[in-house]
Amino acid sequence: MYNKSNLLLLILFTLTVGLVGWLGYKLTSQQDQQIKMSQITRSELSLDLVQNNIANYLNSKKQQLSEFIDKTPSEIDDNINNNPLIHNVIIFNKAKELIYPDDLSSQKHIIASQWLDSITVEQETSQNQVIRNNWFIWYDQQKEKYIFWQENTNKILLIEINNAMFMAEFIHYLAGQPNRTESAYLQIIDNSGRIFYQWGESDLLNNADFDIQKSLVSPLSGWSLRYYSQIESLSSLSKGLFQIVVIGMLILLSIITFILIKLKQREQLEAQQRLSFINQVSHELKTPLTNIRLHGDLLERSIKENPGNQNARQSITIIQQESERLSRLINNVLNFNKLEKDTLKLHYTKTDFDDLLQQAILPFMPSFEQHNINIEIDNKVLKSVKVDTDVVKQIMGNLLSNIEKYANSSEIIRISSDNGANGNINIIVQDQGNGIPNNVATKVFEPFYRMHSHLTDAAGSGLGLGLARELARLHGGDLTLLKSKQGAKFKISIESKHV
Amino acid sequence: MVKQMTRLLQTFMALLTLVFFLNTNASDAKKYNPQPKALAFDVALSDVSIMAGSQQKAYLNINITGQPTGTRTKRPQTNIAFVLDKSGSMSGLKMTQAKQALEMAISRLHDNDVASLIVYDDEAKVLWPAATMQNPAQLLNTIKSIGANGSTALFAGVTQGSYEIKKYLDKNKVNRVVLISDGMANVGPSKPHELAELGRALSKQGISVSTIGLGLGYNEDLMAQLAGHSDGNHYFVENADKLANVFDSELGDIFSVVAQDININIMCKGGVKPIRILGRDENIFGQNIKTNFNQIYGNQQRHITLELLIPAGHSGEKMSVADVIIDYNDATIKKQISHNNLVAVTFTDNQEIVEKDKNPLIYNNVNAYQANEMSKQVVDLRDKGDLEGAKKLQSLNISTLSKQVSSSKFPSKLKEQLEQEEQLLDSLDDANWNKARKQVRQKQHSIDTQQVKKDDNN
Repeated sequence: MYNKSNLLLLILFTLTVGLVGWLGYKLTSQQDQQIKMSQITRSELSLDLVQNNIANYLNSKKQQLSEFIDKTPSEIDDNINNNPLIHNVIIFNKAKELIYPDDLSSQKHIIASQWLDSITVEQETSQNQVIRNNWFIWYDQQKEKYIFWQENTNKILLIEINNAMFMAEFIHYLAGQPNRTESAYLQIIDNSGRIFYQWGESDLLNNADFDIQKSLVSPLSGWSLRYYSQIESLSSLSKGLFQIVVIGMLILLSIITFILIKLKQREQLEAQQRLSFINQVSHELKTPLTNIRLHGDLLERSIKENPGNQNARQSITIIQQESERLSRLINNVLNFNKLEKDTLKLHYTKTDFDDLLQQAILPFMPSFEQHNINIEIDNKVLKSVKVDTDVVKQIMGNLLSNIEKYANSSEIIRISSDNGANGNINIIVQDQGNGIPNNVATKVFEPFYRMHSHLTDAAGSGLGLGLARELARLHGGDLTLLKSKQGAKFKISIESKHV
Repeated sequence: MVKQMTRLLQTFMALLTLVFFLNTNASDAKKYNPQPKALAFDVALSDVSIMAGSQQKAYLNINITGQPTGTRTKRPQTNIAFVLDKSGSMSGLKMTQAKQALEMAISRLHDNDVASLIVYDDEAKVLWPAATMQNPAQLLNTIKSIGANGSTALFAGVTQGSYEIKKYLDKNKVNRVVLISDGMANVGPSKPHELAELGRALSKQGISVSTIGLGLGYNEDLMAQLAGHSDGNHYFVENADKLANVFDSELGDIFSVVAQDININIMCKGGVKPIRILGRDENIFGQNIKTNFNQIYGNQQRHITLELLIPAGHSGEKMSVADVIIDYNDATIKKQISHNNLVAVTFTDNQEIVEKDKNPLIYNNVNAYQANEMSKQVVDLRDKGDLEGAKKLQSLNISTLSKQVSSSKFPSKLKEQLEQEEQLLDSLDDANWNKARKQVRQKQHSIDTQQVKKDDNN
């Protein structure tokens, strides 16, 4: 029965853990996706910015060079001599006659005419808009040369620039850019696939899981701008935190399940104990009742035959004894219930303590005599006390009943009493039976506990000692087991109201 | 009477002009700085007499000699950008030695000198922006903190160095980038001709780049071209422990600069046509040709040799060939000085006279140049793996040069060149061609730049 419910609990536990894990995974992967998307958008934006800046830079260079068309020959001479970017300048008129310089070597003249031709081709192929200036690349012995041209109504200007200076200016421009993109690495790749310049966090180059590429404008149209960045999933810190939370939850769940299982086991144990209690009590109730019935019948018969018979007297004594036992048992059960419900009230009455002890012992005397047990009483308590006599009798009765049941091999039961230092009355009851082992010394007070729970063993409810202790405590004292060389030694302590 | 009066008046005027002229000269002389001129010039034609009747090739040679530094009262101010390769290959002893050499160089600078420090690996970083040397201790600390890793963005390093120089660019300072690298440039433009172009552009701005190739892993063509086209020095340092010596000699050169921004303007006369300047970048505007030296060191002798075509002339006719105007900045007295020379040629029918009047020193220059150019072709062939072709060409080079040595009246310079060419022939077979090639490139560079001063750093 409880194996099944344990299984159910286990399934519930597994399901909950699974659910928590799945939800956590879903949540983080969703968050990952969001971060990824926002990062891609941000990367593209910042790359666009860099690309635009470079385009603006290159266009401003174009603008600077286009101003050469209005310069005087001496200004151009000066630029060729002193401006590191300007390698050579050639100007033709619309009839393709040389205007600047005055003279060109025939070899250069041929090349310049070819340049003019490539401009014409470009202008013809661009159908819609009229191109007034642009770059083209000229290969001279496998060396690239950037040629800028500009046209107005009567002139065509050609500028052969110093490529290296153009590159140097470009690098200087890139190195001076303040808006260095964070958590990214950028590379400019030239038209032959070489890295031209790079900047940013170089670590990202090797472990980038994401890169975008954009192209540059003329004259660097074959070039590209490459952007490396790392998609940061949840930061390792928050990932670790998440793991800790999940593990913590799992541990918590395990603890709760363990406690639940333990509680259930205890409930089951208690239920079992109650069941055995009912069996015991039924048995207990049955025995005196059988005796009462038997002796009642015998009494009836013997009175019919021979009134004043000695056997009849004995039967009456037995009936009285068994009735006492029955009422004690019933009292125990009732008081136990009352104690559990906190409804037991004490009724103090003024009484003689010697009498009280005698009354408590009296019901057991026939049984003790039968087992040859002597009782030694040493009472030092002042005669008149104010206690709940029923409670005291019940505590004493429960102890003596235990002796009757479990220590009936004793020869002497010693009962001593005195007034304790704190004004309480102390009663010590000692037998000469087998005693109580240390390891169960506290358990004997638990309800339903019996050192041996075989039905065939001595009868008992398992309530006796526990109830006795509760009653003693209720009476402002306690019931404790004292250490003893032989047999069990109990100390009852109860409060006595002033007379 | 009127005629007499007129003559008298003319004489008087002439006298007046003469006196005035003498006066001006005298007052000019008073203004002269007691320091002698920084440069001495010797402008001459290879052929003073030339065969009449046909177009002839000739060479116009200009020798420039820097005044000995001992006679100068102070050294020029400097504006130096140290550009240090800190790529991974530099780590260890190389970096330690380079730092020590840098520290030594820094300690030799004065308060008014400007210095900057640029390092490069994947990208170039200005570690110490150009500034006067008011706080050398802090710069030395910066040097100490340099570590080595990454790739080699050499072009960017030199570029950033040149931009630091430009912050304090001054014709009266020696403006120089000193580059130290041990590796192949692998980020940015890295072909030798690209670096040559950069050198040319920087030279136009008055900036020279001296290149120090460290170890056996660098690209000597790139380093030599960069230095060659910007009038800087090029050094091959096999072992890092020689770096300090190289820095010392580089600083010695920088401190001994006597003149800067030497502009040579040659205006050809009549039908004379300039062809090219041997081994130098030049600008030809019709009959005018311009070239420039960034600087001349004390005691240094440099020359340019211009190839010309002289038109046919009649025997006995004398013809002006070219007007040479040279101006330069004296590096220490901060004064612009100009020099003017006119050269002429006489046509003759007599071949003996032509031969007698040939200038053997100028032909030495031309022959040395041609031998050097041929040795470059030899290296190219060897690079392509054509060892036999290279040997054959170099043997031809040597035999031509030997003939010239034996027929020259002043063969000492050519003999030196011949020794070098023989060494090259031997080293073609060398097991360690990589090292030999670096030595050859350094020598070729010094002939290209006519560095007469010796730097014995190997």
